[in-house]
Amino acid sequence: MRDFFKTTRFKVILCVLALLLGFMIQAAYSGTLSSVASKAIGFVSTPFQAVSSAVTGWFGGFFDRLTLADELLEENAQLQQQVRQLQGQLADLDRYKSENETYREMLQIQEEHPTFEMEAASVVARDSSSRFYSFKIDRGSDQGIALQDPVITQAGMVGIISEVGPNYAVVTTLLDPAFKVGATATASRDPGMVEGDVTLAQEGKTKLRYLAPTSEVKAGELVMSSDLGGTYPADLLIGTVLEVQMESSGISKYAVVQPAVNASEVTSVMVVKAY
Amino acid sequence: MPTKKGKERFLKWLFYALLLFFCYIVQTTPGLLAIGPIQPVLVVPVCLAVAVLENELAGAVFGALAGLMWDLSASRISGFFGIILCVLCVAVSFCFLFWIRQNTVNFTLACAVALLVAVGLDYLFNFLIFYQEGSLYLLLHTLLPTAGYTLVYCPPLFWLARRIARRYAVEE
Repeated sequence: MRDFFKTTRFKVILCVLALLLGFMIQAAYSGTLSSVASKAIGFVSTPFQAVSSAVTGWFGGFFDRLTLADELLEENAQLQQQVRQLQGQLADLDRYKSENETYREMLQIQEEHPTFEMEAASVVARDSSSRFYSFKIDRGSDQGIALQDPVITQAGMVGIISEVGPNYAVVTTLLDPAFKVGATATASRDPGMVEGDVTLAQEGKTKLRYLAPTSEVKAGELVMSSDLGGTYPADLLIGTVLEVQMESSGISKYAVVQPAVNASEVTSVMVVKAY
Repeated sequence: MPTKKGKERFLKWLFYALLLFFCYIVQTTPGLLAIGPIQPVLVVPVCLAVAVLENELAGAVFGALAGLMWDLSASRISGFFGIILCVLCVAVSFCFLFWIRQNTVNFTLACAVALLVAVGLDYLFNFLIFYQEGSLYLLLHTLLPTAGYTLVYCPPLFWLARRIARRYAVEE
């Protein structure tokens, strides 16, 4: 065993460890989580993940139709009717339904925010050990996506881009404590900051913090993004206030917010590239 | 002209690499093999199997690759799990070389220890240090169940890796 430390194999293992440490330093220095090696793995794996997601989704839908036939048949017929009204005849229902959902959301959001330049993307990978339901999408820097770009759906804000490769990007959701956005409660117009909380994240909720002690925010109010700081566009729906509490410090209040979008179940999103 | 031994070696490593890549795709496909929000981390048993069946250098390289893949999918800083799995694979390789018999039960136990170490370090450096409040909930409801569920897939993955090793065994 002692002789092992004199062998070439040991030296090669040390080189591998040094290379990994180099990747870690490069990632930390660049302010992102990824290194050259991660980008290469992401670039190669993204097309396979997209195929795997599509196949799994098809099989999941097939077995759902068998086990929940009546309910899903009725719901499917209604959705088919709605999509037909929007598009006309469809040849391939599943593929065109997904595309139409994406384009319909884009148009609706574009009408509400005419200055937004958006890129539609699909969720292709999730990992249960990922932080606070972060996920990977199948669009990246080749499509003009950059770090810190907001990610939204028709229902509201989902998160921001935290890592970008040529053909993929990783989205940090608004449940992550590292995610912070200026926000306003719509009825009371009280400003605050939406910030993820580790405990609330497990229930799929987030926090609106730094409310004044005299704040009149009430349960049921909507929380929208504000343009304070200029990082994110204003008037993106974040969620609904569930309850208001005093912080343990007694200096300010906070509101528990139910996000408008369930980050753990979203399958397609829109990335706001410019606004 | 490649020799038969060279060709067998190449095919063995190719199949190991394909197995690792396939497991990475499966582990990151939304909903596949999922029990609620929990999915197994299949790359860990694969790299440990290579470490057990081959040598410590192969284990180190596959551990590094598996760790880099896990870093990407779990949104950890690149190299974090790479270093952890690289060291664990070398350690497991030596254990099986000198002290432990190669069988499925021992391999599964080794995976359990390795996963506990990896999850423990992940919890310490990525959650406990930054989010003391509520991080224990994450450990008990996400990280440890993920590690536990991964153990279910250790025997079949070890069997697959052993099939590859035996099929393309080259007498040194």
